[in-house]
Amino acid sequence: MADFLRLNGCEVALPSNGTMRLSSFLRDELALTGTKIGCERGDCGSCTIIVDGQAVASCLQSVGGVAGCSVVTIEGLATCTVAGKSLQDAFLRHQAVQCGFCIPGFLMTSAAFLESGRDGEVFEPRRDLAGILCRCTGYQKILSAVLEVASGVAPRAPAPLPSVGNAVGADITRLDGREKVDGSQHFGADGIPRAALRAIAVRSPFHRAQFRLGDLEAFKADHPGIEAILTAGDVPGRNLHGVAAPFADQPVFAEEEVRFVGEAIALIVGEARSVQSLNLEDFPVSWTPLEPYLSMLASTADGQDLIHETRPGNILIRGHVERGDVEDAFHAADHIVSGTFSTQFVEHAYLEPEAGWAERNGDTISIYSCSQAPHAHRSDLALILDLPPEAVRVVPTAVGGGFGGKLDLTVQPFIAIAAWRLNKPVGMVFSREESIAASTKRHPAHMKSRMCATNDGILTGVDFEGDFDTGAYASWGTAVANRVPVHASGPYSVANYRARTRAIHTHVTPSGAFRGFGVPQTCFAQEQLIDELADNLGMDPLEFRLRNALRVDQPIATGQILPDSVGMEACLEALRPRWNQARREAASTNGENFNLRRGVGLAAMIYGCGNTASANPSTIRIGVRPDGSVVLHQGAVDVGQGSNTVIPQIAADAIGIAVHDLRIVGAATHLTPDCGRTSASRQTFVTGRAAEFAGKALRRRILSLSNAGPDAVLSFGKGRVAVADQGEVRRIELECMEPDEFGYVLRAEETFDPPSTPLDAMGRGSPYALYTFGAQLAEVEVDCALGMVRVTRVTAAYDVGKVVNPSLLEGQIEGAVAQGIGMALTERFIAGSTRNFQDYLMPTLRDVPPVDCIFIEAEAGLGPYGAKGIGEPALVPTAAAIANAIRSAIGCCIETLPATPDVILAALAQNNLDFSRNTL
Amino acid sequence: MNTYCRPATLDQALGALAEGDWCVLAGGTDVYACEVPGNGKPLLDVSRLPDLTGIDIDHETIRIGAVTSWSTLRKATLPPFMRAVQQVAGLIGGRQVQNKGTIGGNICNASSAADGIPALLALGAGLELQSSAGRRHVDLASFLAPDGPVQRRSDELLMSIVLPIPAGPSSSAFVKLGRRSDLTIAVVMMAALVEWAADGSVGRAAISVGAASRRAVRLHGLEDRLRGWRPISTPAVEITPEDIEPLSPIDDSRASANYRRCAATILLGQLVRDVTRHRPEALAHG
Repeated sequence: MADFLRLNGCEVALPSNGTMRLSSFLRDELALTGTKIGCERGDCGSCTIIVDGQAVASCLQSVGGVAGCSVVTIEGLATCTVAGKSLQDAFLRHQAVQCGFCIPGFLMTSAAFLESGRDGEVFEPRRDLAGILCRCTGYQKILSAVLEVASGVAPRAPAPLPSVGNAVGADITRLDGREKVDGSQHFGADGIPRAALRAIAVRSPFHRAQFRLGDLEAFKADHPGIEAILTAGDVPGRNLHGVAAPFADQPVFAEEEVRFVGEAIALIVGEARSVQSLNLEDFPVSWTPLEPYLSMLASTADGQDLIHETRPGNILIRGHVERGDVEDAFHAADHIVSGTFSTQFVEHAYLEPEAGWAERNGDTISIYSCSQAPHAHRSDLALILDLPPEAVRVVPTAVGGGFGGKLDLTVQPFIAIAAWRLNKPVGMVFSREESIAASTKRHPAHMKSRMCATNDGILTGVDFEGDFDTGAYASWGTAVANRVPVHASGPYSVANYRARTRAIHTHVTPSGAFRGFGVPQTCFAQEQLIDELADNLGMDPLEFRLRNALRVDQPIATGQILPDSVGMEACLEALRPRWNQARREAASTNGENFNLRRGVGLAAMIYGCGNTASANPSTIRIGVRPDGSVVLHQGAVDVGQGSNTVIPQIAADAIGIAVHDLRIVGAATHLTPDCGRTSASRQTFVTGRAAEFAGKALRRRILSLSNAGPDAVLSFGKGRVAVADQGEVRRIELECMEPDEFGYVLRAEETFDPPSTPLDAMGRGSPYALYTFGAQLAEVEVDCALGMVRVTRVTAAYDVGKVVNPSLLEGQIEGAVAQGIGMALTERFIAGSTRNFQDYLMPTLRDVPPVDCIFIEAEAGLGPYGAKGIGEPALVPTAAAIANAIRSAIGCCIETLPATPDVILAALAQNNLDFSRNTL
Repeated sequence: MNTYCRPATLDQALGALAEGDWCVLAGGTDVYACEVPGNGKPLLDVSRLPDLTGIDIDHETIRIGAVTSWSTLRKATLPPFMRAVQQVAGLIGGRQVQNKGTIGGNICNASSAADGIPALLALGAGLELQSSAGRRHVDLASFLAPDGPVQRRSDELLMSIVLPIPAGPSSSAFVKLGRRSDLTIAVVMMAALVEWAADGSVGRAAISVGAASRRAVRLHGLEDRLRGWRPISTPAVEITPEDIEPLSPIDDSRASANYRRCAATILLGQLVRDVTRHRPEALAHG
């Protein structure tokens, strides 16, 4: 038997333990970390490699089984496969890469198919790549990249590099793309030093239980290789964290009582192999299970125990926005509609499980992890470690998808405490099961709403009540309860408005931030009522929306009047051609086939960019080194959405330099000023604006040093800045200037904090500085016999203020539509029973239809070059549009999400609708 | 302590099985889809034993080596009655799983949602099991005990799956309903084999349904009712509640038991239409 395998063209000796997963061997023994582990169950495809010409999930492959085989990994893709290099280039040109974590799986599978051809099977990417999951892109650009290579057509020409001053608006390939397609970029688990100890958490199997730890020393003694078992008593500082400081309530380690399945009670740290092979069933702990409250109904019933002593009724917080007189409006109205709607827990399901490592250096500590919020993490970690913030360095690795789920602390406090206590580097990687159990979720909502209108088609009243299940700890429950009441009006002018919300605790994994902070759930309820109201009025739903769409001079629900950039009308007008066409097509086929019905639905939205009614500044530093190189300190974490590209585009134009000439220093608390969290659709807007200010400040400084006019052309390098102005060139000699503390001879640092005001008791004020508007049109087919829904096409129109990078923007929308389809139709996390990607059904390639994007540029005076945020707006209306499309197909509202076959069939039965008599 | 052994010959493999308690490893797509592969048992890797590979066709049977991968089956040139198996082969996980997962592993692991089993039951699969004591043949239906583990002794190795080639014209079909397009565990799935009489009527039908009971089950009532049905001249067969009485579906996160019954009824209609549509050309024209 051969004891070797041929790996990327070289012979490699196999380990003695043949049972080891090939994925572990590649990563842990050979340090080939380009192969990513997303689930270790063969469900996601991220770890796919090529074995003897065939695509194989390396997590399901024993190393013993590849003895004598030829194996190619992403590291060898370009040199060991025929199509590898072309595929990598195509993925970049087509902007097919967002976070990049799943990309090796797509590349390797495609390369294997293009390699073989020898068994006569034709490569059909839509079919043959359908077994690989991506959570960011919506698959469309991946498919177009692979199809280009597979069909052998001439590759799409790379977009020309933009000239100086024209980076904003240019379709630039993401600047950090290359290392995402060659496997060299390090995600949370990829840079853990080999010598590092490993940590694993001991977690609660119960929703709610009291517990008592047994003899930990004895357990440690029985298990050689364990260096420490850490519990609440080992936390140097505060055993609490939370994203909203005044509400911080989540312990790093539970004390006495656990409040959700998966809550950590202890951490075992030791030599990697010993720790990973531990059987935790023997861990010395005794549990006394208590009755858990698994729903808001249960936790708010009279006489229930308090989940947190200081929160009566198990209510974390209430939100309220009101204007006009709602009761009067409903009395005076000609048409009233109402409904009750509910949604479920939704998992972020980023392909990269949480991971990182920490290292102590004397009195300081560095924490490397897939974090969406470096400075915020530093503040919480400093409190947990009882250290001054300056002693804590938080360095985000590449982030394999976030969507809000990597804003809260996950691995960070564990590795930090362990590394601090043991004075050795400590790494930790969540399993998929652990990630699903312990990470935050989208808040389930229970919503009661009514709306009214007058006969002339004016929306005169909206009255909304929403309860949001925030789970065991506060997390982002406060943000949801505060944001939703501002947004329940939708993008409409409503004179009489009341929206009340509550965030409620239960014994479930905390609900946190997930692309939209409760607004997608709200939109799902509200936009169906808008359609119903239009029906009652006998109006076309698009016309009804247009009539009531917010315009520049009209106040939003909080009374704030927007001075510019209200592109709602333009978005709806842009959708009108497809709307009319799609409705005609649906009507014509619905006559022929009663069983398979088509529907077309519309949903519109408003979304405030940035934190709600509170400060959220970003600071950008740009410096010029004595050699003339220009360095941008870009602290906005790129979780795949593209800030590593968009912020440089903005900065480059502000300075007057070619974007590819900028040197970029990525986010790290000791290297980049605070750019806030990557959340709330704020990075392009807030950090982008700071980058514009900093770039312009640097430019002003240079112009004033050289006495040049505003249109002067700058060129940097060779130890000087050359300033050409009206035919004359002046030079600033940099090498003779004194460098500052950062090593720069010229430096600009600017902060932008979007102007907002707190809301008063009635919710009046200006909670956000600017708002993105948009609408989506979904087309569906409903199989009325099986209750199955298929989304066949989505058209999206967004007023983004200014398009900074067209293909990155499209990618945000295509990916969000895929997530919206999941939320609408298949995705539901059930505490204690949803464990992995076999149970949690996110859309696969063939579940996601083509998405057409239309961009409106109603420039925002406050935005960088007029730009606004897109990350969350892209997702907000999708589930609502699908619900309305189903509603138009079958004639009744969808009251619960996900709209599973059971839900669809129940809706049909309840409304005595039977389209199935005419069988297939 | 995990150990791994890849015997070079069948005799070595059978010898090892006779002496120790092994987890037999074929493609690994089930064995490795859990936290500890083999749940702590040593792994006996039979995935490259020549005696367990290959597809042999003679006059009466098709013999499929137990470690034949789904991809191999999907791409192989096989007679039309094998269509259901080839359909299954393209629907189990993604390509990166089909390239590894084996037909024998699917049978021995015998999950209630094992995609391969309904088709193989409908096609009347027999199994060849070998131990150092000798070889025995067993039909798939009796190998799959209604409850509890499959009827494989720990010293036995599943060698091959043997499918009788229908004497006359025949067709088969497989239908699977999941919650999404791909990578889906069946809510309900089913397969049919029909042997057609010379007059274009159903001579014999075999229909089995999976994921709607602990183990896939045959619907003998419906099979009997279909006998003699002549699609070209008689109206479509209506599926009745009695037809699905043998099913005992459960509620789980994928679907309710009620939904499974309702879906099974609808899918059976589709299945019968599909297997009819794929009958040999000559019969379709009467």
